[in-house]
Amino acid sequence: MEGCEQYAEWISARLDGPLSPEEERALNAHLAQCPDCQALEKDLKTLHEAFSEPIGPPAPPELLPGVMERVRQTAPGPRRVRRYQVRTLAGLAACLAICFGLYHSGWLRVPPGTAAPQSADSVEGLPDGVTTAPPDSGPAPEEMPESKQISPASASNSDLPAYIDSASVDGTVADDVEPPEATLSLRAAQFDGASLTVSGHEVDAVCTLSQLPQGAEEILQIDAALQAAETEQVYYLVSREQLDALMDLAQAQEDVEAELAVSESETGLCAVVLQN
Amino acid sequence: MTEQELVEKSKQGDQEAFEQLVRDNQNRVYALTARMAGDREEGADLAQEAFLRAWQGLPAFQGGSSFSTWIYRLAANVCIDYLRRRRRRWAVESGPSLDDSEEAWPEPADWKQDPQYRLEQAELGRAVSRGLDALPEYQRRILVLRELAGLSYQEIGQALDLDIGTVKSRIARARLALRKILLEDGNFSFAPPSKKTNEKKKGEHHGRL
Ligand SMILES: [Zn+2]
Repeated sequence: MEGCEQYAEWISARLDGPLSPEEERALNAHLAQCPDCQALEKDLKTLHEAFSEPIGPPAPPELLPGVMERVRQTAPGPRRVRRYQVRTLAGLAACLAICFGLYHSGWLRVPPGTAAPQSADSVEGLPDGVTTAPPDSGPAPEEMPESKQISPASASNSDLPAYIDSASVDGTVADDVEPPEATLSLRAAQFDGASLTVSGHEVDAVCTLSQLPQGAEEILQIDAALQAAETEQVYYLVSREQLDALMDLAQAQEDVEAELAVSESETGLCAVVLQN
Repeated sequence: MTEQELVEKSKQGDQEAFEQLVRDNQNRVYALTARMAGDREEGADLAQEAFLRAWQGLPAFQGGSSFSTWIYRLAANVCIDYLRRRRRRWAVESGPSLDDSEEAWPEPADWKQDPQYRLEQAELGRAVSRGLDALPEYQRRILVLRELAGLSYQEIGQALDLDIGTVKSRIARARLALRKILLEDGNFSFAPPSKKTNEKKKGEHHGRL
């Protein structure tokens, strides 16, 4: 019958949602007199419903253990990293991998008041090129923050290479360790499990600061501040380099607290959010 | 334990509860990611990534939808990101090089070679599975996003850079093509073994969007 193609499209669309009243009327009128389209509708409905059946192929047996192995190394919530990982942000992808690796290594899962799972001794004592450190190999290094507060002054830059080395060490933390709580509010930033957004901007990283560090005006245009609609928090959209520089400043200033959340995206855009 | 209870426990950090959620959803998530990627191994990696993102995103998960609905959408996003990355990489390169000879849009793996493919499935699901694999890639992807991931036309449009009218007509054409394949499939007939076909009346369709 003539025009069946248009009706086929409506038949399909009606499986996914209501048509407009006119389309609905026209389609029903056509169906009443077109056996072909009636058969088509029946078949497409069968197909549509078939998708609620198991559609193969089934997941490979190693999928579940693989997921759980990574879950055990990863606290729920966006990846929060401390100051000394920020330094690596400017290095783009490779450094994100490092952040990710660090996270997986268990460093970031050290709960408040708990000894770090790896000691600075063992890490510092490693010769170049050695990338493993035994778990539970000593007392917590003093520079590991005992508090869950993300205190910029508590990590020293000299730790960085050692931490990078230790990043490739997996599974050094007991499974029952609680994930660290965020100290600062990440409210303006949304993590939907896939991407990190601030007021609708997809960003690679969000740094939440208790206040702008002194000298911030050298790095960003203060009057370029934006305001998040829902939380009314002030935020800035910045490059990775700007974020890095700001975190450097924050680190040097005792009264500035910072928290960083990093996603895996590579938009080149980062956000600085002020706690209000 | 209900899905909701499992979600609540997982939110508290209960890994066993989360494991159950993964177990309950892994087949469908994998069916989705493997088909979107057109490759088994990539599909498994993407499925793993989707579950990891779910674990990390759980604190933000409000429970406005079911967990399964949510994880399918997450998985779709993971796949879309993956395809975008791959496309971008392809665009940057002048041509295939020796150390990266994969095609930008590789042909699907031949599932039928795999013994697991033979595992028990409902006949209809199995037929649809075969039919999907026989579809051209662009039709398979759009249908997977609609039917397996449950994305709306609008979301599919955003994901694939298509306007809604195009999404609508492509989905219709993909369904027609799938039907044609199944009609030609000697092992499948639309004749009603299913009771559903009898109770069907016009006007009974309920939109799912
Ligand atoms: Zn007709």
